[in-house]
Amino acid sequence: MMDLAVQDAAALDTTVRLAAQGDEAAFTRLVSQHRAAMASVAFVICGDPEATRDAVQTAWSIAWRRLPTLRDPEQVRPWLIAIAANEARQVIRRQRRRPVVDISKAAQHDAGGDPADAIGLVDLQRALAHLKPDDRRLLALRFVAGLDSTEIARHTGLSASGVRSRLARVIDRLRTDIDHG
Amino acid sequence: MDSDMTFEARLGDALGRLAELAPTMDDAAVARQAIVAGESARSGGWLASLRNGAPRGFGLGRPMLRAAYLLIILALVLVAILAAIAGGAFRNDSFPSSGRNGAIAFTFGGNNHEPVVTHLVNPDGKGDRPIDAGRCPTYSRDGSVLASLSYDGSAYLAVSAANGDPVGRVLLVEGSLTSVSYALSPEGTRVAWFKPIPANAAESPSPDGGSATIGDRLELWVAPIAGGPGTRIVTASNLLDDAYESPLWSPDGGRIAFAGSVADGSGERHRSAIYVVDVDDAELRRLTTRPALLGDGMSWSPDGRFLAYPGLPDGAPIPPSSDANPPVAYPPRDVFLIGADGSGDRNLTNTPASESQPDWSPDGAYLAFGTAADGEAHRITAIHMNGPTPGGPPALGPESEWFVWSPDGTALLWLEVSSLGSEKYRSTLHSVDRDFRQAPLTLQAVDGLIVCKPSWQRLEP
Repeated sequence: MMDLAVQDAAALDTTVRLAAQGDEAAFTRLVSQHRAAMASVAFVICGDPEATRDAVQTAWSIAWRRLPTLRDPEQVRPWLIAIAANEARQVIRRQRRRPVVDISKAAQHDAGGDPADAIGLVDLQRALAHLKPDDRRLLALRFVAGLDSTEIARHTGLSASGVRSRLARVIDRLRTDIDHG
Repeated sequence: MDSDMTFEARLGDALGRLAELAPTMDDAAVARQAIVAGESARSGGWLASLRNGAPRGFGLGRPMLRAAYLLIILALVLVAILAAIAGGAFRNDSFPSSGRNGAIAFTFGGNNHEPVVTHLVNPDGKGDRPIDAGRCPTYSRDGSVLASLSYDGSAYLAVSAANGDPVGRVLLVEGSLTSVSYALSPEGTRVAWFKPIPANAAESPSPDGGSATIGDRLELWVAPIAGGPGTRIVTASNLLDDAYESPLWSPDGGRIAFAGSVADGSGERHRSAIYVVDVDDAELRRLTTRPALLGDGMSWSPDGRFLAYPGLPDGAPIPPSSDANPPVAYPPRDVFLIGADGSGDRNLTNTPASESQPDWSPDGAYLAFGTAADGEAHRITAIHMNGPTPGGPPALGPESEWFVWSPDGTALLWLEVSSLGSEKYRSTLHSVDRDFRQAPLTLQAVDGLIVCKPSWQRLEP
């Protein structure tokens, strides 16, 4: 098990280093490994497929240029996700628009027989649409990317305790809206 | 699914399901397009110039040299600060007297996501009691009124007596689900707040009503808390973005300071300005501009002559947004001081550390702020502002996300957050003397997170 982990880490290290040196095949491997996670985070922030595609594409352009500055190859996943999250936030702010709630698709996804206490996606998207892009970014980084408060702090400029406090406020607002709205 | 599942777990589950709806993309095409789009910048521009001065690859290198460099800068800066203060640059003899310490109001949410509640506790830590108020309470400067936010479909200012008994409420934003930034006037009779307006509207529909749709722009409003129509002080055309902290009343209640974005066409990622608006005639004055976002913890001097604010020094331009994504760290912020008329904008600290939330003591004798060396937690520090500081550099206080001055100006309230495991926390309120010489006193501990900075009631001397 340990050998496998070491091997994975070594392969990751090699892929990132090669991509940083301009190896296009290695870069394409990185895209394959991380693009879906970046899109998931960006979609929760943007709420709109086209804006998500724009954000992810721009994020990878940034990543291609900036990979040589990445200090630690093992940090490539949170680094890429943070770029995508920030770019999604920028897309929304540049467009000065709220996320589009695609009710039909969300409702279709909700129709899978979820238990009564599950949060419906239509309700969730409606509530997310009223949050600031910065707050949606925190939610996406925490719950979709699974980053902890320290990792989020590193990529957002907040302190770790600031991340926790702000997340607590956002979650409280969502609970008020979703459970009692 | 367990019916006792916490809201946080249900939220995580729902967000995961939502994320599954993210659009698919052709990875090879994404990579190809990124390489084409990024190639020109990768082979030239500011990145290339950086590379010319440093070896390409991973690692910072020479950490000891860097640490020594930072220490030298820090020493030089501290000497500069002390020289400026010793010269009486910021001396002022007309500060008002301090008050006595009254109740502390704070809001917290329990670990199991019980409803957020607001409590009062005596200044000695005794007499903790819940009150029927909203969240994020603020005492007026004279300690007679306690205001808080309540969200009941719309956002309201909940007005209470000093003991927490409800008095009434003021509609701030109709249909708002976002947090509202507000400030109570010093005498406790008016409220100022930023009102979001529909993205396509020139201004909000009526002076006393709200807008049903939340937009991306903001207006600054002032209204009496006893009821009656509000007044639009700053229109949306002067407020370009949603990156605003609470408005800040001057000590005499005649002016309001706030920070907002500016579009200066420089291509910088973001630039912000500090404004002061006269409440009576709505005359708006831009005091200064600085890179990136401003507004995190500005403070009026108690005599209303100065504003202290954390900002970035002008220097190397921050690249446009496409290049300035998180991998490029912001340079550290310093504490700046500017006259309320816009004169004398100067860097007060100029250290390699990142500083935040400057706040004057009620007697004007000290300016406290947060400071964090690279990668370290924020710690409280305080500079003596009313004459030379004996005995060398400012003392470092405890780690805390924020602090609150006691109304008598002798102590600082601060927060300790400890983990109880699995995203559960204990929040403990302590107070410590302003020179950080004595052991802190523990005033209150709650299981959960204190969600905003408490407010400490000022009583007449």
